[in-house]
Amino acid sequence: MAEMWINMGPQHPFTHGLWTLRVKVDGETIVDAEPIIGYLHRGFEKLCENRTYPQIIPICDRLCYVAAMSWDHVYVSAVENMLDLEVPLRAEYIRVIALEIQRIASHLVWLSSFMTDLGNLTAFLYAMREREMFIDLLQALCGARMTYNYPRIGGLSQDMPRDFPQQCLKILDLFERRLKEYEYLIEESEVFRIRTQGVGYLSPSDAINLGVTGPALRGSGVPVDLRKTDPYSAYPDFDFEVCVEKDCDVYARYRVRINEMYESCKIIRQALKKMPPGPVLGKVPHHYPKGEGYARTEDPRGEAFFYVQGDGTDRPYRVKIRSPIFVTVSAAPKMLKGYKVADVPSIMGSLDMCLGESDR
Amino acid sequence: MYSISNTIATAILNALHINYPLLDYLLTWVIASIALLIIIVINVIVLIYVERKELGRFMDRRGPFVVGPAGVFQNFADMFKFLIKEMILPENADGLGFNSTLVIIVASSLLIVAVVPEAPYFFYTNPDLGLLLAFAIFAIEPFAVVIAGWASNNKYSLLGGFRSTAQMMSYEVPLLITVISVALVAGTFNFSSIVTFQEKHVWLVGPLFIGFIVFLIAIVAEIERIPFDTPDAEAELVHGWMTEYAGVKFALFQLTSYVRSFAGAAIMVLLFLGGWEGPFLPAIVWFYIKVYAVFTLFVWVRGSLPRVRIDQVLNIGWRSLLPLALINIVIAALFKMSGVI
Amino acid sequence: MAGIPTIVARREERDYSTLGLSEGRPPEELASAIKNKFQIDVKVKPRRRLDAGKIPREKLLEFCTFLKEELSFEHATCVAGNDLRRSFEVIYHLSSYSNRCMIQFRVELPRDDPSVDSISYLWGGANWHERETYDMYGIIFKNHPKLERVLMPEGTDFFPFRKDFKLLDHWKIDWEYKGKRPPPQPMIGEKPRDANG
Repeated sequence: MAEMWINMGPQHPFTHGLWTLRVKVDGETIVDAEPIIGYLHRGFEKLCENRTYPQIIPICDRLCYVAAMSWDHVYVSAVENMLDLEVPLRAEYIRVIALEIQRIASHLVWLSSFMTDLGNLTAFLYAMREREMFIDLLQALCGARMTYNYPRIGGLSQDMPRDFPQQCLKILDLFERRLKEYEYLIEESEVFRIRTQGVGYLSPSDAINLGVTGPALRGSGVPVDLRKTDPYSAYPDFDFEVCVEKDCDVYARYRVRINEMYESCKIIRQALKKMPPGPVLGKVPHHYPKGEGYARTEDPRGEAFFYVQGDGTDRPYRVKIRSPIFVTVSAAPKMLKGYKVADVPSIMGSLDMCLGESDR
Repeated sequence: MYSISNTIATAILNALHINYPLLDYLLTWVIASIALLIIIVINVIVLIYVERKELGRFMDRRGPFVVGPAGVFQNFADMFKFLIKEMILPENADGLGFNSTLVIIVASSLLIVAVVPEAPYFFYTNPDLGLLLAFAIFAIEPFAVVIAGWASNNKYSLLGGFRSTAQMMSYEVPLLITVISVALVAGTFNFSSIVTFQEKHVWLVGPLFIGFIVFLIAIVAEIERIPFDTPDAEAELVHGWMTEYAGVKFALFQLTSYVRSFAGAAIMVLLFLGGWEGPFLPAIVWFYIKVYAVFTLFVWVRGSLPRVRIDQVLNIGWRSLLPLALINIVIAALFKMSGVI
Repeated sequence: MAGIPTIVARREERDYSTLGLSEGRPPEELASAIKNKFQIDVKVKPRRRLDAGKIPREKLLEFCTFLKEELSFEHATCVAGNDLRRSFEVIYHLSSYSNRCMIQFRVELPRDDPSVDSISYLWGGANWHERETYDMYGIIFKNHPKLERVLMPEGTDFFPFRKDFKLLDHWKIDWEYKGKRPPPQPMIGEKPRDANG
């Protein structure tokens, strides 16, 4: 059979979000691939030029709706860098707790969609059930389940409820026990291993060159985690490890994310123990001078980066967002060449795509 | 079943004062066939109920326990949803191929249950070569599937049809070799005689344990359940070769899947697990208990494992199951020759 | 019975196990190295950030090669376009894992000739960022392997993020329609793609 181009998408069960993957196949082997995105482009950066600085925070949630808190945090950090604002320590700690809870919730969504792609529907429902617990925690903190609008420029909008630490610790204990059980359920089956081991190889030098960041990079043996390499917020106070695997395949990226969930639980426990008293909102700026600032954080998917340039008015002049998935998807053809069409869901599932941030 | 339907048929014809012996014969078989269909449909409904409840327990779903008393109405909800959808024929699809393959697949699946006896006195027909006939009918489906996939005029369906045929072909061989080993030990191809043999000596799952395992894996692959679900791989091919069938046609395909599960489980019970043997209860009750136990095992496997990739499926079929089936047949020959069984 | 991978793992020449965890060279040393070679004033900001100001566009490729080879800036974080009303601008952010710092610099382009060299041969991660900048601003990157639109549909003939672009004027939408249909949206591609791509 001659080589032919197959269009997987835009409407396709395994594509989480709307994008197309055109693969050139020779029989069942992939020879080339070309991802096409842009179906969800909302002109976010131009939209920000018409809104005042605090008005941009609610729409930052909609960038990647699965990991909304980290995008709020990146934007607010960029503006705080631009203004050289001092954020109170209690606000930084609560931000870290919210970020880590969000990281766990985002990885659980990844787990459920990854296992659905592979065919195991039980893990899908189990992961979603655990995520409900964490979303309930975030609802106690800021009132919304998915689009939080919680950080403010200079701190947070409100303090955490009085019984939040006890609730949180109870849920973390329950979650760690259950996650061990689910790990066992998934990994003991040989079927899972033969579908994920040896598939989707991405060498470390290719990963660094192509701009891949996050779990995909750490699954290739490069121990770069922005919480350790370039610490921000209150992360220098906490003791956790960088989760690295050497195998460079889909199974390695899966293990990196599972380990990250355990590390997040550790960080939340330390933060709850060391929480300092104090206010949660510092000095709120009324005048935004001319200047520019940028900030980058470790989103659950990679390196999220926000650049804000102000021109003296109350609206920014230019806002630029670097989304990790935008770059990782452009590296996808490298990971797909030489494998079979049946491997496409597991390889693309291991990259954890969220189209909202890719298309902005 | 023949005698009961014969009595009914003669009673009807006598009441109408018609007296052709040929008509008598035909009407008997028509009534017997209707009875068979009713039994199959009732069985399928109960099987779907069992699967929903079990998967609901595994996956923590609420539907099967809340809809109706003890979740009985979940079935009807699903069926109703299929009945009210529109039946679509795609524009460039081959109408003859599209519709006729549906009929062939459904009819061949129902036909398998016709040659499988359920109790010493309760069978539709019990031919002497019943075992071979059952597997010959099992093997009609791959032809119809590849035509259905091609007739849908859809790249995904075509790929699904190819995968399905490849999978079924490669699992027929270990399946049939295992079945031959059973026939070798029992000395006959007749289902009832195989069960009588097991009642007299020992359940064949003991000596032919390897064959049992091979048969279990191969029958799950033949029925296209998860983990051997690639022709129907939702995540890659939308729904494989069944993609373009809508409404009642899709419901009929789901029905065929359950009918084949029932037939596969029934054959496994008859060949390996002693058929209808059991201490106190009547034979037919034991038969159904064993069939539902085997089916529960199928559902358990479905709830726990992910899907195997197509080339790995074929690897398992040819490189792991075939040698095991050959070892099994050697063991069966040894058992037979040494006169132990 | 493991699946035989169709690609055999290649041995890597370099050991990455401590990348990003060791301190590396301090940013002051990097700033002075750049100043010695290019006579550009590099400001060192807190938290190990460098700001190299404006780079003339002829020197861009040489500067980037120096950063990548000598000072080991392995990762291109972002390439952003900007529309100052009298000229265009491209803002680059590069980061170094070995030295744990980040540098920002800009290149100013005249409005009638918005073209600059592409750095996607040095850092493959900048490839799609440059495509997006072209898509949104119309800035041409010379020697880019595939400069096409990435976010807007194919066949779009305007550049949305420019400051003089107004959406409603472009479509000339008549809000009362007066019995006429609004203009159709551009489709993906002028002609449908066939099996040969």
